[in-house]
Amino acid sequence: MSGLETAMLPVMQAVLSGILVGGVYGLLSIGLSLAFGVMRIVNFAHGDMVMYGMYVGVVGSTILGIDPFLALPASFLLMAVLGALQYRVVFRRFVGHTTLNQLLAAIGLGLALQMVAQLIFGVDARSAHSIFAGKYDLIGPFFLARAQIVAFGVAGVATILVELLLRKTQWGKAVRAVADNIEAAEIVGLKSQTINLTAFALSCGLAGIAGTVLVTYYPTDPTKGFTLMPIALIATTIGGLGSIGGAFLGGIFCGVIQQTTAMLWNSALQDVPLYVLLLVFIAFRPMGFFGRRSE
Amino acid sequence: MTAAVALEVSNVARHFGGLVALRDVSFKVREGEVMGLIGPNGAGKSTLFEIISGNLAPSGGQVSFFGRDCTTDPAHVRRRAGLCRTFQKVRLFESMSVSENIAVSARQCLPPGHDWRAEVVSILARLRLSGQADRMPSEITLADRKKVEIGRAIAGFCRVLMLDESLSGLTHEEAEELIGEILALNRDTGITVIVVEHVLSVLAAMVKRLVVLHNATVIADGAPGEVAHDPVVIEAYLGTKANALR
Amino acid sequence: MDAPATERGASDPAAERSPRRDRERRAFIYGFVAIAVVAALPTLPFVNDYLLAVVVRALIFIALGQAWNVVAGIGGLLSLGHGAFLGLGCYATGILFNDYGLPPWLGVWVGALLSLAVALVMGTMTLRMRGVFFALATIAVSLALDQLARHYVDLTGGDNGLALKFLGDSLWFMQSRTPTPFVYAGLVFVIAYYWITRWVLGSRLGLQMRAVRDDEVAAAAAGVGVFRTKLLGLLLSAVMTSVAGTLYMQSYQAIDPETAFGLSQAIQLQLPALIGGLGTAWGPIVGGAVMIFLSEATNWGSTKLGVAGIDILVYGLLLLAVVMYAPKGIMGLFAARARGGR
Repeated sequence: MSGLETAMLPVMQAVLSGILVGGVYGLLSIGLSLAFGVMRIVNFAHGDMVMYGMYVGVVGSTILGIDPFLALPASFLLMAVLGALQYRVVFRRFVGHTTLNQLLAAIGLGLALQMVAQLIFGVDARSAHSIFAGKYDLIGPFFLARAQIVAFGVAGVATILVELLLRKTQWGKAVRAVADNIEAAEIVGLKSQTINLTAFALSCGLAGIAGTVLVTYYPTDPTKGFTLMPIALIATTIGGLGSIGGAFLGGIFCGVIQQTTAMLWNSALQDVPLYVLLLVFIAFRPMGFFGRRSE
Repeated sequence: MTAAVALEVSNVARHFGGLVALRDVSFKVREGEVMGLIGPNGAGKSTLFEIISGNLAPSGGQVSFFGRDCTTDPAHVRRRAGLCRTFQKVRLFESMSVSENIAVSARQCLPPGHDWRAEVVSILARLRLSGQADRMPSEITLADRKKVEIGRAIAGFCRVLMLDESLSGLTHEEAEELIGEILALNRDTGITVIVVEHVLSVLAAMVKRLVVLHNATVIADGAPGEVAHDPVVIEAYLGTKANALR
Repeated sequence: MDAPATERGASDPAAERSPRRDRERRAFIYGFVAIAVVAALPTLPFVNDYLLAVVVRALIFIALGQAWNVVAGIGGLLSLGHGAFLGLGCYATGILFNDYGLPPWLGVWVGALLSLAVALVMGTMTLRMRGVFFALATIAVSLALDQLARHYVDLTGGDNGLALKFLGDSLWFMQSRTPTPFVYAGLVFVIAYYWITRWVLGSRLGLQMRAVRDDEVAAAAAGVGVFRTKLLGLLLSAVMTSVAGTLYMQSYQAIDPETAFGLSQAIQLQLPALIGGLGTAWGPIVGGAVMIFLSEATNWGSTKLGVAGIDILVYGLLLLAVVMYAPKGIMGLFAARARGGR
């Protein structure tokens, strides 16, 4: 009995750290899911906004001496403004349908953002120092990184706040009305372009928060946006494209699968089951766990 | 009178979650008939239309085409068998010319041994679209777009043509002309025609038989004259649009 | 009433045909001149190996762009992971040659079969769903292959990649010290793929693919089997990409996971068709030439300025500019001018 328990411990440890890492994957994904749910935009540049959020943490920590967790509001605001700008210049014209051109525009934008980051910050990996870095908590028999616990907390709170924002506020009602039927929303006097702009800004602001949280335990470089994007896309799809809570839970699901794969099989192949899972979901449950069946 | 049954809808039902869109809908259409299917907005016409054409699965009941149960056939299989349709909001292939639009179904649905080019030319001529053959859909009038869609629907092989509000948005003259074309098509080729409209007045002169759908089910089925004086129908329409029957 | 209408119908397309035939003849002449110029390049005195290597690169990317154009341009399916098929072609040819001494003439078909199988599984699982899911799936397949290629070092050489054993000039093993043979091989590919594209565009399959691209529901209402059409387009494109992958492998003599499955490679496979004009036979040819010219220019600029990554920045901005301002590419601009002038 105790032999089995000992054997199970590493797996439990992997599941727990999977949940913690997954919370941040969830945070990466909720903004993505928001943009899709409201505007049918699959923003491939979302990962690059996360990457910029990471650099906000780096700059705050190494140059200004601010803890990344204190830089969260700044990161949110900066990325929201950048997001609003992107919406105005690029995505405004692609609202409503996920088209080939929309996907390509987002990819082009992502590449440009990545290379601009490279020109500014160079190719080397950079990290930020948080007061939680390198500290571990022993909870029962499990070691958990404190930075990850705090990050998970931030992710959970952000998810709940966004859900509340969408469900309880006037703005949230307007966003859902525009997402549901843009023409009807305009008829009742909603300014769909303004509402979409704010929703897109929120989506990018969330990416900024995700990045700044992530950089407390995971160093960044200009390619990180592209590295993180697939997991965010998978988490969003599994949770249900367009669902906020679904994206968060999808992220946790991905984190657990990834960490247990790394534990039980091979850490170099830790993402392969996720890719397979994505195909399986697309084939058999494209609306994900929490998405609405459509078309 | 003893013509074969072209289309038979038996006990078709469909609900979306708790919402009942259709319940226990049954009727038959005989080969060569021109039939109207009407009903106020929200009566379930579109749902029924999509179920017959194969884009929506019914929750219950069946659809058969010339005696064969086709309830589970996908839309393109039904089209190849000759069950053809148009769309309420015209859906042409916008990157293709008028003749290419028609060529898609001509090349797909023509029985072997026939020349699809000749088929396209003859369809264009029949619908008086020959002058527009190389135009793009965005360059022609709405009336012509509707004709192109009908052409695409009948090219190759067609036994039953279902028209989804083909007359809406047209001027009186254009509508008259289109009705003429449709009746000529029925007369010359024997194609069965089912016309779906929400206003009765335009159909009265065109069809010999009307099926009226209201609140998700069939409330009347008969000659236009009888149907128009049916108190149930009048009540259904008065509830929505007072002068629809004029 | 009917008879004259029919006659008009018969004569009208014929009257319309002559400017089109003129345009075809002109295109044929341009094509012939282009082929002659490229074919003559290796014999010219001022042309060095570097320039020839650039030409080979252009021809390879044109061929790859032509292959992507079939599924994305004609079929409207956004494959973001065509690198998977390129990679399978490269790795299959390379591994079979290095480990088993199999000549690329045979390896190419193994690669093509593998690509066909991957495309079949991926397509069957995703092509019934909305297009965005297919796009996501192609990325997933590419990334999965990337991780596998990095992990199974014995087979693939891992992160460092796979280098072909060099045996000296040999037609049987498709190896050469100079780029000259690959200029001709590349030319053959581009011409062959041009004709395949032309054939597809004129065929029933091509018409179906364009119908599906424009409107799936309307296509089904015209009798087109939407799923089958998409799948056939994907299979054809996957095999074309994979076969061109063998040319890639023989000419560069090396492949690594980043080059095969990386994002920037996927973008480079898309740019020729996008720049030149999606869904046209000439688009990838014109666009590929433009892309390689730009890439060489920015590389030169990068080295001069001592800044890396300018080429990728240019690719990104180019992608953005094309889809926002010229979604029909260079050929679209020409067509607009021709239309306006008529």
